[in-house]
Amino acid sequence: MGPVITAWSAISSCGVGSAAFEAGLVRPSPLDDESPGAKAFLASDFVVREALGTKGTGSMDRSSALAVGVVGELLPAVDVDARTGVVLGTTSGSSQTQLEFTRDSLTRRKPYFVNPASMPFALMNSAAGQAAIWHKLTGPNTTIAGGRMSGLSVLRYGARLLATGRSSGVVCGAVEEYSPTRAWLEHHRGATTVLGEGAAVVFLEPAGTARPPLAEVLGVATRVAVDGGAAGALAACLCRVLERAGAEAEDVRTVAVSAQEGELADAERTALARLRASVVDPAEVIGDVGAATGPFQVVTLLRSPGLAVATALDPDGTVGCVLLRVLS
Amino acid sequence: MRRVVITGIGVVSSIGTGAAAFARALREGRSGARPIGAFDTTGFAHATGCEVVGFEPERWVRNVPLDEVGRAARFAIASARMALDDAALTEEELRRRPGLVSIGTTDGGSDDGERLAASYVHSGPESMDPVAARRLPASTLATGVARELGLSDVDVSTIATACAAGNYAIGNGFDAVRTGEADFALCGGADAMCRMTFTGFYRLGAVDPDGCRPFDVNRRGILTGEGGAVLLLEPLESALERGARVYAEILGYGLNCDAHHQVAPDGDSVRRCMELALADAGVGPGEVDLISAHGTGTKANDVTECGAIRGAFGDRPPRTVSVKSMLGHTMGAASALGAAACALGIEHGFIPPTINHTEKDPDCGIDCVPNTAVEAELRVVQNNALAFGGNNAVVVLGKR
Repeated sequence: MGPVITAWSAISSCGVGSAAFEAGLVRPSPLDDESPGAKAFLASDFVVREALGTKGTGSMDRSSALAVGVVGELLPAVDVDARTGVVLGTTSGSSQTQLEFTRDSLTRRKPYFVNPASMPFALMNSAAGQAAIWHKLTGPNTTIAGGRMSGLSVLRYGARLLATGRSSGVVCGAVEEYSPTRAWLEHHRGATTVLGEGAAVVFLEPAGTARPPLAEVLGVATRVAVDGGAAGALAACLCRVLERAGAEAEDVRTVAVSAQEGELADAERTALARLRASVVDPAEVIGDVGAATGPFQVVTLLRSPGLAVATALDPDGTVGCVLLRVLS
Repeated sequence: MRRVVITGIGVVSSIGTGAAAFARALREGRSGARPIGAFDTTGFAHATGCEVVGFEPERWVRNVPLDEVGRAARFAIASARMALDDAALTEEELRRRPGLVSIGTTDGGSDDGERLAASYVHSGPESMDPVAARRLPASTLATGVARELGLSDVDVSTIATACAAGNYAIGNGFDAVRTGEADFALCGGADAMCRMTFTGFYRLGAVDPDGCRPFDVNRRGILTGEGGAVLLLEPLESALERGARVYAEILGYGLNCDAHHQVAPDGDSVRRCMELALADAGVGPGEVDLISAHGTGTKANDVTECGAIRGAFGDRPPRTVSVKSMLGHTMGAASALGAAACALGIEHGFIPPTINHTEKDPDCGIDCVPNTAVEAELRVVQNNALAFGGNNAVVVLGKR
């Protein structure tokens, strides 16, 4: 048996924790900042100082706080040892923190009048590092800048850590903040989706531990669509995971999609055309959560027993999917 | 588990581009330090760094439109192309096999990010450059390599574990080839000089005004640098079959997290990481001939790291050098350049020196091979990497 998912948690516009996500209340918030959009799915119930306290959160940015928070929600359900790892995906870290740091350097009386305490938060590995520091997780701690491929990347990387014995169990997930800077960057990239803020993690471990598995990870396949054919490349990934699992396309009961608009959504639809699965799209509930899309697809699929697929496509040309066997 | 070897090395650095030039520069103890020109340094009392000058991206980036990849991605692509040529392999040969591309980085596209931030601040967010916004995500480093070489069936990942990212990427490639998931790996690291890193370290008082002096009692910090290094890894068996030159074998690696402090390394945890790597490699501390240290040249790092080395190796540790004395701190590229230096030292039988050295810090207590390279037969070499966030990774290379 392959690695299994035995626990999960999430923070999103639905609220904090798995129960809030299951309740699935759809509620985008109106924005009154300088963002290009009028609304976003904000994780308003997650108030950093209420959730984590005031000690150690003074300089902490929202991305890292979301990571600390969501891992804290997950850990009571699992066993932790010295080899428990954390593998988180991101697009570019906190673009807001990076912008503010650079703005201070550009606008203050001296270019070095910056807040040194905010520097480590500007680095992409801050969320994973902070989660480990806060919760004392000393195993492998890795950040993968996978963009929209993050969900698949962290599962595959986490499974490799388990296969090589480097980790006993891995917290796999991703974080995406909402911020005006992210909104403007997405705007300039041509996105018109309603952005969301969220963090979701699953606990990946070898089968046969004390916890009953929620799902088995049967396989991850990704390709780079070097010739521009994203649909064909994604279809090839789908074939590969099914073939390796000895399954047929018609066996897939649920598919969670990731692309909301444009060429990538067209490619995703084309690649999935031969499946007769029911389709779920977490973005309808929590908005476009960027790098966190994949982990949210996975936790959404945990509701639907049977074979399930989550697909991913990134504008950088990478596509792929994961095949899960969700247990009832 | 398969044995994994390095058969190709590609390097872009402030002291030399390409494996041969890089090896010569290491042997000569060349310094990459010069005044920073990558960004406006007005208002800083000093601004020395190790910049790559004269880099011609169009020599290497031939298939991907240049404006779709930032400077760090261009370094990664150039390094990967050089590694491929160095290994005497072609793109067509790689396209036929399942592979992995893993590139470590600290800042990703931060140099573009800073220009976008400057537009935001000075002219309003509407004025940001859409082309730069699209190439900003760090995933373009690894994906750029795959796109440039036409590799579709590859596991691509940009690993963003700050200043240890190169070793993470090499470890990831090693595991994928070792377990049979991939038949080759192009792995390493790349970073471009950026204002944010310089300013942050400067504010912390951790940038040396002149040169990087690891393990020296008068050291004053890092010099920020830039560059890239990519290793081509393949199974020993395929390397032997095709009669490839083998620089070195990856014997093992280890990774862990201090889970202690964002910026201050924890000596016990760093020691444990070295022990994990040695155990993974199946070698004892007494068999290690050389340590390529993280060796940033800051007060805190060097003492903590050397303490951890003595903890793992006893009071007479192997010779311990810092190539950052020559290259500056190239962030996510640093440990990849370090690993390349180790492999070249093994292949050519020399130890790169720690330059800029005048007076040994007794609190470090190691032989740093000051200023001049020495000839040595190296069988086992350890390459250290530490990062903010407590992210440690150690790679062990050798020749059996």
